[in-house]
Amino acid sequence: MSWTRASNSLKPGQRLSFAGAIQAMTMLRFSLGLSGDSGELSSMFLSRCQALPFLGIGVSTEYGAHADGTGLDPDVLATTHPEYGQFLEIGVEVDKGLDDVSRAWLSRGRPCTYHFLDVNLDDPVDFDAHWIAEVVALTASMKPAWLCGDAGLWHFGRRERGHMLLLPPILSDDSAKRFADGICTLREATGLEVLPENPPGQVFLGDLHIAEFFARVCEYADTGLLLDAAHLAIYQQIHGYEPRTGLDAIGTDTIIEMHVAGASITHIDGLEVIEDDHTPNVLEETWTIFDHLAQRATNLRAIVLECERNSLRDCLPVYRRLTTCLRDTPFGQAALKI
Amino acid sequence: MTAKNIQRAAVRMLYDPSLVERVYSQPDKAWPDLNLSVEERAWLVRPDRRRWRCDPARRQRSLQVIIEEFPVSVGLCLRDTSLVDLQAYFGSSIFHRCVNEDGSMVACFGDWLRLQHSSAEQFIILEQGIARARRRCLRQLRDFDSCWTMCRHVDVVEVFPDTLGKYQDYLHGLGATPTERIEALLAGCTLSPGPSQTQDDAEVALVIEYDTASNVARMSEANSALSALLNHLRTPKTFEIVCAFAKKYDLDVEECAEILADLAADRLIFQIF
Repeated sequence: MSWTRASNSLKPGQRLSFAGAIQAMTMLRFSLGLSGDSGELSSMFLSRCQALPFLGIGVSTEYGAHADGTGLDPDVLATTHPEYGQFLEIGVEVDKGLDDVSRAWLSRGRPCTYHFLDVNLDDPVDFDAHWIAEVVALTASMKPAWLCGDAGLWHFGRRERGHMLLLPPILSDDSAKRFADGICTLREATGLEVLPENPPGQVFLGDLHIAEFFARVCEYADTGLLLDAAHLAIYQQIHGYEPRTGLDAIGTDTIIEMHVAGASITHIDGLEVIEDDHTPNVLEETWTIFDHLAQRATNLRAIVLECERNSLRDCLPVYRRLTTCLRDTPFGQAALKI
Repeated sequence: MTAKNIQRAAVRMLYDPSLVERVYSQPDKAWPDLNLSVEERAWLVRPDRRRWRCDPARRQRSLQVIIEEFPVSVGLCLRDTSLVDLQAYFGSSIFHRCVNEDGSMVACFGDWLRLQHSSAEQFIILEQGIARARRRCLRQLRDFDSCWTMCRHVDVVEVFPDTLGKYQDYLHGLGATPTERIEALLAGCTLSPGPSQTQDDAEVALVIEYDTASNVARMSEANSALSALLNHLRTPKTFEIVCAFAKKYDLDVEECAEILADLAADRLIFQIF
C-alpha cells in the first residue's frame, strides 16, 4: 500500500516522529496500567511528577510577541536577570509554528514548555491527524518539559482564521470527563505530561465552581494542574467570591505550574469588568491566591510571569514581589539559588 | 448534556447583542434550533447580561479577518454600505446557522454578502472559491479506499466571462499585497463597479489553484465538462462512481481512466489508496 498526495502534508521526518509518538503511546498505556483501580491511577501522577524537571521562574511568549521590538525579550531577561528567565513558556499554534525569538531561545539549549493555543481538549474531532503530527514534530524539536494550556474553547467550529477565541469550559462533571479524555489523548500522542490551565473569561456556564471543575479534570485525567492565579481572581470577582473561595477543592500537590499576570479594570454600562491583559498591574486578589497556593504546592516546578508585551523595566517590580512571596517556600529557595 | 450545543449558543450570544436580549427575555423560547436542556438554558441567563458584551471589538476584529479574504467584494460593496454595517453579518441567520453547523465563518460571509449586494455577486463567488481552496489545503481528509478527489489546493467556480479580468484589475487597484489592500479598505477605499452583466451571459468555469507557499491563487478557465467533473470530485469518489458520472459525457471506462490520469498529472486531482 502506498500513499500519494494524502501523505504529502507530512514530511518524512514528521511521519517518523508520528510513528515514534505511537510507540511512546504504547509504552505510556503500559505504564499507566489502564486496568488499575481509580485509587491506584489517581496516585500515579504524583509519582510521575517527581521526574518532572524543576524549571523555576520564567516568562511567556507567543508568535510575534516581540515583532515590533518592544516587549520583554526573553534572551535579555535570561542574560541580565537569570533568576527570572530560567525557562520560556512558548505559546504555539501549529499553523504558525515558532518565531525567531523562540527559535533563538531553543538554539541555546534553554528549557521551555509548550503552551498550546489551538486545541479544544474536550472535542475528539479537534485531534485530527494533521494537528497531532504537527504537535509531535514540534515537541520533538523543542523538547519541552511538558505541555500545558487553557482548557476551554480555543476556537468555535473549525480551526481556522477568524474562529479563534478563548471561552471557559462548561463547568460540569460531564465536561470535566471530556477534557480529561482529551488530555489523555494528547499525553499518549506526545509522551509528555499535559497540564490543563484554568482560562480567563467573563461568562462562565455550568454548575461547578471552577476550582472543583479542574480538580475533577485532574483526577479523571491523572494529571497535574497549571493554576493561573490571575484568571482565578477574575473568576472569583465575577461571582462575588472572596479570592480563596473554593480553593480547598484543589489538591495543592497537583499544582505543577502557576501563572501570575496583570489585569485592567474597565466598565461596561456600569458593570466593573476585569480584563486579563498581561500588564504589570497585578491585582491584590491575584497575589492573595498566588501566595496562598504557592505556600502549599509541594510539587510546584514552574512559575510564569505573563508580561511578554511589557518592558523589562516595568516588569522588574513584579518579579521582585514574586520573589518576596516565594522566599520562604521550597520552590523559592530552589529557584532563587542563582 | 450537550456541551457543544451550549458552547454554540454562547458563541452566538457573544457575537449578537440582539440575541442576548431575546434569550434573557424568553429563555425557554430562544433556542428552537438547538437542543438545550432546561438546565443549560438557565445557565445561559445566569450571568449579568452585560458580560456578553465585554468585548465590544469582537465583531470588528472578526470582520477584519473576513474582509482580508474578500477585498474586491467588500471594496465594491462599500459604495453602498460601511464596514460598521457589514457587522450585521454576525446577527444574521446565516451566521447563526454557520456556528450551529461548524461552518466556515469566512465562507458563510460570502453567502450573506451575496444576498445583501447582488451586484458584486461574481466577485463574491470568485473570492469564496479562493477561500475554499485555501481551507482545503489545511484540512485533513478522512480515509477512503481507492478514491479520486480534487486536490486540496484546488477549487472551481462559475462566473461571468470577464469577471477574472476585472477581478485582477480591482485587486491591483487596492494594493499589491494583502496588507496594503486591507489598509486601503479600512481607510475607506471603495471600488467602482463596471457595467453589470445580464443573466443571459453564459458563465465560464474557473479553476482556482491556491499556492500555500506564496499565498497566491492562480486561476484559469475550464470547460463545463471539466468543471462538472471537478465539482463531482469535491468529495472522494471511487473509480466506479466517476465512470458512472462520466457516462453523461459519453466517456467509456478507458477514456475516463485516461482523463483522471491527465488531471492527476496536472495536480488537479489525486488518488487515495
